[in-house]
Amino acid sequence: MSSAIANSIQLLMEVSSIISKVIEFNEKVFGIEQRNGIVRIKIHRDVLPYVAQKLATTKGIYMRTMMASDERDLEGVYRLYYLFGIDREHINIVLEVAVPQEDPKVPTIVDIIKAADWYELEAHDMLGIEFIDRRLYRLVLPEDWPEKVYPLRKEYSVQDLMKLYRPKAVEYAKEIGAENIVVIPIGPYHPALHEPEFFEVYVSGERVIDAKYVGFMVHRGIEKLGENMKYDQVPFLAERICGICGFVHSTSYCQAVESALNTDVPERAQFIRSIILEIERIHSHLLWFGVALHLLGYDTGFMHSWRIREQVMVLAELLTGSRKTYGINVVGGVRRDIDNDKIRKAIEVLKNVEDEFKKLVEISINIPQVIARLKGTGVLPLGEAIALSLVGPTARGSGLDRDVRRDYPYAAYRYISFRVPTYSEGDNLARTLVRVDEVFESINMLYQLLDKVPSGEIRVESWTVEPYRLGVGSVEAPRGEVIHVLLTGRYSPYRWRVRAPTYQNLPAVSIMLKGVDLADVPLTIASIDPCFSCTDRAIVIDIGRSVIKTIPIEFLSLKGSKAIR
Amino acid sequence: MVKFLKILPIAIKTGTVTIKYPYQEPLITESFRGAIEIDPNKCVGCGACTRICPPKALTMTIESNTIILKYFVGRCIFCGMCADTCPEKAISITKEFELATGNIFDLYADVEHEVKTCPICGKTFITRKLSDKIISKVPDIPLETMDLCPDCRRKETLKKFIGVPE
Amino acid sequence: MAFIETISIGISMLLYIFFPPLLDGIERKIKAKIQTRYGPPTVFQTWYDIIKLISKELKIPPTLQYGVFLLTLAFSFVIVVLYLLSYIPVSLNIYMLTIVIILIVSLHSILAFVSILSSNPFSIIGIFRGLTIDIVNEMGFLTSILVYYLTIKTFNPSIKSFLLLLFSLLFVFIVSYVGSKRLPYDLHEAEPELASGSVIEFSGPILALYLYLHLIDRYTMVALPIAIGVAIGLQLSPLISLLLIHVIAVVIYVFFGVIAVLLGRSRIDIAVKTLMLIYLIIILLWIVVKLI
Ligand code: SF4
Ligand code: SF4
Repeated sequence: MSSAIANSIQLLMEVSSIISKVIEFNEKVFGIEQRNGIVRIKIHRDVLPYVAQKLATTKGIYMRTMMASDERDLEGVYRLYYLFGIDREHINIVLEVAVPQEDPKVPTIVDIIKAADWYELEAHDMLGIEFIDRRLYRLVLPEDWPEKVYPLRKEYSVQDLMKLYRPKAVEYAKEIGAENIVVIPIGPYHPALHEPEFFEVYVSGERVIDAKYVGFMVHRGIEKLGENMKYDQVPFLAERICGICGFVHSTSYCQAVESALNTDVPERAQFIRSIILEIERIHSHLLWFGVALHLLGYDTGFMHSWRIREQVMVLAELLTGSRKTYGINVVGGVRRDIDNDKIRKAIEVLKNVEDEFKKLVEISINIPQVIARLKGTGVLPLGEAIALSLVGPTARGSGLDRDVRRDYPYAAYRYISFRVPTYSEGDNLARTLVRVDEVFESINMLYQLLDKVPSGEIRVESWTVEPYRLGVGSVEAPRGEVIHVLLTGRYSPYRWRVRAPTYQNLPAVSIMLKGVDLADVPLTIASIDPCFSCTDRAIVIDIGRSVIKTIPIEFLSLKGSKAIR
Repeated sequence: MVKFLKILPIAIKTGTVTIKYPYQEPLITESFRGAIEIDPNKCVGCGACTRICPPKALTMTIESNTIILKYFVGRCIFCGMCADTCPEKAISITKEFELATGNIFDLYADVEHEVKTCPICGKTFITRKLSDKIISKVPDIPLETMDLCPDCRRKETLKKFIGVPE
Repeated sequence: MAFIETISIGISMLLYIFFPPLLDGIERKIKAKIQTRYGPPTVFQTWYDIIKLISKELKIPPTLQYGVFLLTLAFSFVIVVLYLLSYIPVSLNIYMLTIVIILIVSLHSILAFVSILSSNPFSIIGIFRGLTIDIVNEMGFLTSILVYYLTIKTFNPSIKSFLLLLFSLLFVFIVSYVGSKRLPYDLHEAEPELASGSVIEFSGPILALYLYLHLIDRYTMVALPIAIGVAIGLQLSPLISLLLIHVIAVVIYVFFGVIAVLLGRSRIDIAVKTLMLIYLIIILLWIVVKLI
């Protein structure tokens, strides 16, 4: 215990030393402000790489998210908010960099912090900010998006953007006079597939040499949409960011608004939020467990896992009114209360789930094929996990002990005790076991939460908006940390930045895939539990002949005969 | 070694959990929120629900001399915010969720309201019911200007106080 | 040929033709029960599927023109195999057995060849995995039948003999299980998320024919060793032995069905290694027991 305290004191000193180091550039630092555990450091863009370097070398610091926002009508600048967190400290360090509108250029920090890669590309796509000394390419926007149209700039309304962009497929259909014919895109993004992601997997024989990810096929512009919705409507939109763990997004959003406005959420509401979050985690992990078994060909385990999950879904419906997208979060609390009768039923269901899941895990983990294909495949070393600022079970499976519930306590997690399961092997088995352990841990947490629910109001009477306040809300989703950063506006959020865990974790997949067998690719991709929690059809590219869409027949057959020899 | 056999007793004990839907009743708990139902008698056409509805499943349109409150269940996310908001408690949440249909018009439900037309400028501005409601709720409201649209009402009130400008 | 023998061959052939889809229906029902599902409405579902597929329009993909011809050829092979299988209880000798084995192996080759004709990159992954397993298993098949035949021919009620019988039985049934392309060795259809096997190239009547052939093949692979055993070991009247063969075959088939539900899918490298190892161990054990 005392070592933990010493540790945190040391970290705090490091933070203050960073701050003091930052202050060395006195005319380049415009101010430091501390409020609600958020340290805001306004710096000149020239010193960004230096400060980032200082932060990156500090132990336990990782990049949580970056928000780029268009504040030209306020101060005539774009502004970048780099958000860093420290493991086990409840501190967010925000580097604020103003970017003048006439010259929107910022030095890149990718070579210092790997995780910044996508954030910079996205800021370039959406706001037209140039990052110097790095390769910039389109990440989020489609290829046929018009040049020099940056959707998150305030001059474009959602309606404008919808008029501006028509996918080329429609034009083509007009050209051949086929407006009324339904166009079915066939290929890697086929609608019948689980999820519009796309991995290029380079194989030699059955062994994967490299893999590239191409994504953002369904960028829906939710952040932009949120800027036109009222505060109390956004939670319902946020909940639809993910089809499995939507509640984490609405909670995260509400927490961001509440933290920006200093709203005190009644304790009962905090407990209800925690209860629903944990129920969501159980159903999500059971779903994932089933899908993983299905990918390993053990469909019986898949069916039983989902059978057990069904009870949790019904329980969620009983408590909230919906099986999914519960729709009970509003800023300042929740909309549906729970009573003793429901608590009793919940405990009954949880007991049953605990019991059944324990048996199922024991059986399915011991299926010879399952264990053979989980153990030692898709290894992710701890060093890479730290370098990429990974989150959630993916990080914990590699021995990186990071959990927002403990590190940045929110909702009712500060009132209960729990364990954060970690495994150090970094393979698919470790990630599976992390999730399995978490299910039991969640059930344990739910017993405590359901037992301790305090009485009282479930939402604040009313709250008032103060514009241009910064708020951060983060939640440990089943897949890892979800973080929403928000700048308040008068009637709707002025800028709302969402970062889902998969955004942070996907770059790790390429590392895991190197050297695995082709047959284990789906499982390995699924092992980070990508949002929607399904895997994809991959295209196979033969390096030797550099031909796309061709399977190296010679290699495959060679493998076959080699194997026999 | 033979742990995988242990699934058999579990399967036997559990039996069959899937059901012959729709021939058997689906499981819905008492808290389930389905499509909403608007009671045309209670609704006064204030429009509060259309402003809160997150996906804009409820909309209001003015057509000649009626205001139509349109509910398109195809957009509805069954959140129940409208029911929470309605001052008249005209909206109730049903348990209806089997809404698939071959005819898109089955997905619409309309409540029509007679609209008030301003006798001076001819603008339509409010439903008659809402106006009646306001009259009944607010004591000593100036009845003579209640028929006018907000613009004309302001002008008329001004006229009363400072006289007709030449 | 005696009247009773002709009758029993006829009945047996009818059973061989009618049983496989029905057994598949039963297997699907069992699978559903173990997975706590309701499953297909009746055990005749596979039959209905095949009939429905046959009634669909005929679409021959350009790469499969020869494939269709080969499939019909395979069908005539199957009929001959079924006839010979039904004839086994009446009289069995090594020459006839050789013909049956040759026919079955060539049937497998034809089916494998048809699948290679596919030009779909996704299915080729699965096809080659399937072929790799097939090659291993086909060798296993040849050896196992030989070992089994030898064991039964020289059977006498002694412990050594029983041991030999046990090993050879194990051998033939493992081979016939792997040959049935059930889990964990259904690598032919590969990972549904990543790739498929040749089946995705077929549709309508061709798919029906392919499935039907595959199901009959599964059943014959189970029935063949039983037929040999019953014919040589028990020497009953043709009608009784034919009934006995089918009863045992059905029991074992259903048992295979239960096993398949309980396991996961293997990976090609693991699968080949495990199979080679198992076959090697069994053969060695058999030889060791035989020699002492
Ligand atoms: S809020 Fe209620 S009274 Fe107002 S328009 Fe909607 S349904 Fe009618
Ligand atoms: S239930 Fe929600 S989505 Fe449906 S009409 Fe009411 S407010 Fe709109």
